[in-house]
Amino acid sequence: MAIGTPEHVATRLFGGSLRSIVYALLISGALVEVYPIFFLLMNTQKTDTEILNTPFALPTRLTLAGFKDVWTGDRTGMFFGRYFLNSLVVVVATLIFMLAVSCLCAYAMARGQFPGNAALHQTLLLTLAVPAHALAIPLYFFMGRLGLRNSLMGLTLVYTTLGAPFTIILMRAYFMRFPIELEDAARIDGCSRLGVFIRIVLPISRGSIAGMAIININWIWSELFFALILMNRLDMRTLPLAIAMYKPAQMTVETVLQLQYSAMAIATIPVLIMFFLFQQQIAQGMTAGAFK
Amino acid sequence: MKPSMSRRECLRYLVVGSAGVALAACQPQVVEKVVEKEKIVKETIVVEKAPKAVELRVGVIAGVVQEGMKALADRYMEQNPDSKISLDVLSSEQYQQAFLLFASDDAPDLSWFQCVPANRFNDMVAHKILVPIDDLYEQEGWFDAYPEGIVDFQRQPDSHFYSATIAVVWTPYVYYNKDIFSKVGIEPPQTWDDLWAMAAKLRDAGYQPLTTDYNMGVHSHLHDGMQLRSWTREQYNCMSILWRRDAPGECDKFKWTDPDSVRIYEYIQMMEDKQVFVDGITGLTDYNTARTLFTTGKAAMWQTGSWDGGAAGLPRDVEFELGYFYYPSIREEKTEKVGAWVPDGLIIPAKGKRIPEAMEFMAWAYRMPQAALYAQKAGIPHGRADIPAKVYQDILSPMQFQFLEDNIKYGTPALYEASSSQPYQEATVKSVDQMLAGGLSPQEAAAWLQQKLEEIRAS
Amino acid sequence: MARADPTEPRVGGGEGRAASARTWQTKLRDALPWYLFIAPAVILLAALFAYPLFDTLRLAFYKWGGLGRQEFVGLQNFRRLFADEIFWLALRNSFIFAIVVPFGTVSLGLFLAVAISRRLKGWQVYRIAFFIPVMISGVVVATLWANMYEYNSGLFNTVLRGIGVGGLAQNWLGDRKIALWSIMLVPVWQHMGFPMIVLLAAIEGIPQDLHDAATVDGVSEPQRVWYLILPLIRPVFASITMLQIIGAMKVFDLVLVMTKGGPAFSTEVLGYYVFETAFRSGHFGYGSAIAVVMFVVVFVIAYTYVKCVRIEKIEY
Repeated sequence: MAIGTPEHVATRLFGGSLRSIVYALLISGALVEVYPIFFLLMNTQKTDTEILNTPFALPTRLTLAGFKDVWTGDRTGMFFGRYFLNSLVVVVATLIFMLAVSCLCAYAMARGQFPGNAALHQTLLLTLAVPAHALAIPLYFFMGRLGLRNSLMGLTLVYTTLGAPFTIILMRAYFMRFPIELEDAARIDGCSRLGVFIRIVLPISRGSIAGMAIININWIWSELFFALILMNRLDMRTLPLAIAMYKPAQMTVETVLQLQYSAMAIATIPVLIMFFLFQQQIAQGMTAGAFK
Repeated sequence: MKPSMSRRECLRYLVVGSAGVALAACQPQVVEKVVEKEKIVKETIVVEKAPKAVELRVGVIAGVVQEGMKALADRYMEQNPDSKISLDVLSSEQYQQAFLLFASDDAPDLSWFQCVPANRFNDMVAHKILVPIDDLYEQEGWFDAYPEGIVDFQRQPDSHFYSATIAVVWTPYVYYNKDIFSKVGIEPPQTWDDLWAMAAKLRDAGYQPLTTDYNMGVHSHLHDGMQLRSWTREQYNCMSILWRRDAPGECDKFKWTDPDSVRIYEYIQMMEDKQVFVDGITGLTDYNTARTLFTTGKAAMWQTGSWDGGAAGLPRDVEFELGYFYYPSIREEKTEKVGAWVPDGLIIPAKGKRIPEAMEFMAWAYRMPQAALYAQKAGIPHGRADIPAKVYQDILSPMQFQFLEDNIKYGTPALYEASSSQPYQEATVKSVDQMLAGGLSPQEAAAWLQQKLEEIRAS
Repeated sequence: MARADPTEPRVGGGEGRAASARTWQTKLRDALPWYLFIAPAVILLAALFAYPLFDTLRLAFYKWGGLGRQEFVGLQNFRRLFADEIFWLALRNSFIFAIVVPFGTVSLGLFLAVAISRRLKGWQVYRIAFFIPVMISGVVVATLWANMYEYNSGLFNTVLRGIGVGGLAQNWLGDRKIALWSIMLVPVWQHMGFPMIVLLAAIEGIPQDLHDAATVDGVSEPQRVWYLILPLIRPVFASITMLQIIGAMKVFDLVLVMTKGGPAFSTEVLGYYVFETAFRSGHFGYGSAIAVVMFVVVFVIAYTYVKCVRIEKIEY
C-alpha cells in the first residue's frame, strides 16, 4: 500500500519544463528555509565586523567564547545558563503535569458515563478558539494574589492550563479507540478504575503520550507572552523572554552581535538536536494533532 | 509633584558644589568599634560608625546600576560582616509592571527605581505603596546637600519625600568620531546650516552622518533637545504636565499646535530631509544596532545621553578619538543645551518586611564616601551638590567631568519625560513616528499629539 | 472492527445491572471515580481559564489602573474602542495577517506535500529542510529576521547591493508600506513545514488502489493532483487551514520583537494592542475591552469556519 515505493512513482511526474520549475522551486525553497539557521550558527563564530561586513564568509576559527560568555553571564550580565535551566524546568514540569491531568481527564471522558461528559467535551472544543490574550489581564492579577508571579511553578500552571484542552481532546479520541477488552479483563480481576488506568492503559499508550509530549514541547519552549507578563525578575526569565529582552551590556565592540547570536543558538541547538534524534516521532506527533 | 514653576528651575546645583571644594577633606573615618559617638563637624563631615547589621533584598536593574549597588552592598557587608545584602535584578523593559511587584508581598526591601509618572510612581505614592523618607532628608541633611531644584522635584503632591536622587544624566549629546571628522575636514557645527553642510560632506565621503535609535533616541531625546531650544521657559514648564487634571490654569493656553511647538517637529523633519540621519533610520529600533554603526566607524556621529560618555561607555568601547557637541540653538535667548534626568533613586516599598534596616542602608548609601563610590562605578555624577569637583575629577571620565562643568555653566532643566505620564509619553513618542514614518507633516503630527492629549485629559 | 459510533463513550462491561433499577446513589457512586479523574483538569481550567476569561469580560466595563479602586464606566470603553483609529488599524492588520499568512503556509505546504508524496528526487531532504524552521522558537526567528531586515547591514540589503541592485534595497521594517508584509513573510517562512507534514500524512493515507485505478484510467499528474488527491484530503486541509488562521490572529511575538507595532502603527495587531494598552500604558479596563473584542472576533471566525466548511470524515 505504500505510495512512495519506487514501483509506484509515476514515470513522468510532471511535464518536462514544469518539472524543472518545480525542482528549481524546491531546491531554492529548501535553501531559503535552511540558510538563515546556518547563518545564525555561523555568526556565533564571527566578530561583529565580520558579521556586518562579510556576512557570507565562513568563520575563520571556531570559538566557544561567545557561548561561554552568554551562558555564564560573566561579562554580559545575562545568564543564559540560568534562563536555559528555567525553560527546561518549566517544559519538563509542564509536560509531566499537563499529561497527567489531561490523560486522567481524557480517560474519564472516553470511558465514563457521567453527567456533564458531553458538556465538558463541547466546552473544551470551544476553548480552542479562545485567544490567550483574553485571559491575560485578570490572570496577571490573580497570579499576583496567589504569589505565583516570578515563579516557575506559576508559569507551569499557566502553561498546563493553556495546553490541557487540546491534549485532552486528542487523548480522549485516542482512549476511545483503545481496546476495551484489556480493561475489562483487569476489572474482572478486581482492579479499581484508577488501577486499570495506571497499570493497563497508560503503559500501552506510551507512544501516544509521547506524541502528545512532542506536540506540546515546541510551544512551551518558545512561549513568550505569559512569560513576559508573569516574570519580571531577571533570574526568573525563560529563554524566549531573555532573547526578546536581549540588551547587551556595553562590551567590546567586536563581540556584541556575536553574543546575541550565541544566545539565540543556545535556544536553538537543543531543539535541532532533539529534532534530528526524534524525527519520526515528531512527524507522527504533529500529524496526529491536526487529524482531529 | 508641586505644579509650580520652581520645580522646573534650572538645576544649577554644582554652583554650590564648586564651593564645596572646601569640603575636599571629606575623608570617612571608619571606626573599629561597633558603637561610637558621631562627631558632626560644621561642614557635615560624618564620622562613619560601622553600620548596623542588616539583611536586605535590594531591587536593581542590570548594567551600571547593578554594578554600583553591588559595590555598595559589598562595602556594607565589609563594614558589617553580619549583614547579608542580596540583589534582585529586575527587568527595566518591564518597569511599567513594577508597581505591582512593589505593591505585593514579594516586594524587595529596597529598590532602585526611576521615580516618574511614566512608571506609575505618582500612582504608587497616591496609593501609599511606598514609605515616606522625610526623616532621612532631615537626619542626613539632604535638604542642604541637594540643590533646591532636585528637592522640589522629589517633593510629592502630598508634601512628602519617597526617594532621593542617586544619579544624574543629561541628554541629548552628540558624540562624534574625531578621526572621521578630521579626515573629511569638518568641525562640530555652530549653526543648523553647518549641520546640513556637514551631513552632505560626510555622505560624499562615504560615511553615514548621524546614527541614533528610532526609539528613545529619535522620539524622546531628540524631541527633548528641540524642546529646550524652541520653547520659552514658561512653555517648557507647562507642556509636560498638560496631562494632569490639576495642571495650573496658566498652562491651558499652550497647545502642541502653537508655532513654537510645531517648530520642534519641523526641525526633526528637517534633519530627516537634509539626510542627517543614517539611512533607514525608521527601521533602526534597536539601541545597540544603532550604536554599533558608530562604534564600527560607519557613522560619524551618535546621539544619546551623557551616560555613554562615562567610564563604562564609549571611552571603553571605541578605538578612535571621541568628541562631543551640542545641537545648535534655535532661539537666540536660550542657552540651555541639555535636559537633566534626576528621578533615579532608591525607594522603600511599604510592604517590605525590613523597613528600618532599609532606611539604615539608604541613609548610609547616600553618605559621602558611598555616594562617590556609586558615582564611580556608574561613571555618572551623583545628585548631591556637595561632592567636590576634585573628587569628581578623580572618579569620572574626563568627558563626563566635562559634561558636569558644562552643565554648571549652562544650567539644565528637568526633562520632559520626568513629568509626563505613560500614555502622554507614548503619544509624544508616537507623534514623532507618525511624522517620520507615517507621512504626516510637522503640523499634522503636532495636531495629532494635541488630539491625543485631549483624549488623555478627558479619560 | 465492528464498533458502535466511536464518539460515544463506552461503558466497561463490569456492571450489568438493568438501567431502570439503578438508584441515584448508585449512579453517583459509579460516577464518582470519574469525577475524581476529571477534577484536576476541571479545577485548573476553571481557576486559570474560565475565571480570568469572565473577569476580562467584567473588567471591560470598568476603568482601572491596576492600583486602587475599579471604577464602573459601563459601555464607555467600547465607545472609546469604536472611535479609536489605532484599534481599527490593529483589527485590519490582524485580518490581513489571518488571510495572507495561512494562505501562504497552507498553499506552499500543499505544494511541498504533493511534491514529496510523489517522491521527487531528494524528497527526504526537502521534508527535513522545510520542517526544521517549525521547530525553532518564534522569538529566535523574529530576532534573526529583524537582523536580516536591517537596512544598513542586514543580510537582504547587503545581498542586493552586492549583486548590483542596491536600488531595490528597502527599509524592510521601517517603511510603513511594506513593514507588515515583511513581518508576514516570517511566519510563512517558518511554518510552511507544518501543513506540509500534515497534508503529507493525509496524502499518504489515500489507499493505493485508488491511485492504481487512476493510473489505469491514464490520468496525468496534474489531473491526479486536482481530481484525486485534493478532494480526498479536504477535511484535513480544512482543519489545518483553520488552525493556521486562528494562530495567525494571535500573532504577538513577531510584533514585539521586530517592530513593536510601528512604524506608524502599520504593524499594530490586536494581541499586541491589548498588551500595550494594559501592560504598558496601564489601562487595564480599556485593555480588557480590546481583549473581549479580540475574543469575539476570533471566536466568530472559528465558529463560522467550522459551520461553513463541514469537516466530515471521508469514507473511502
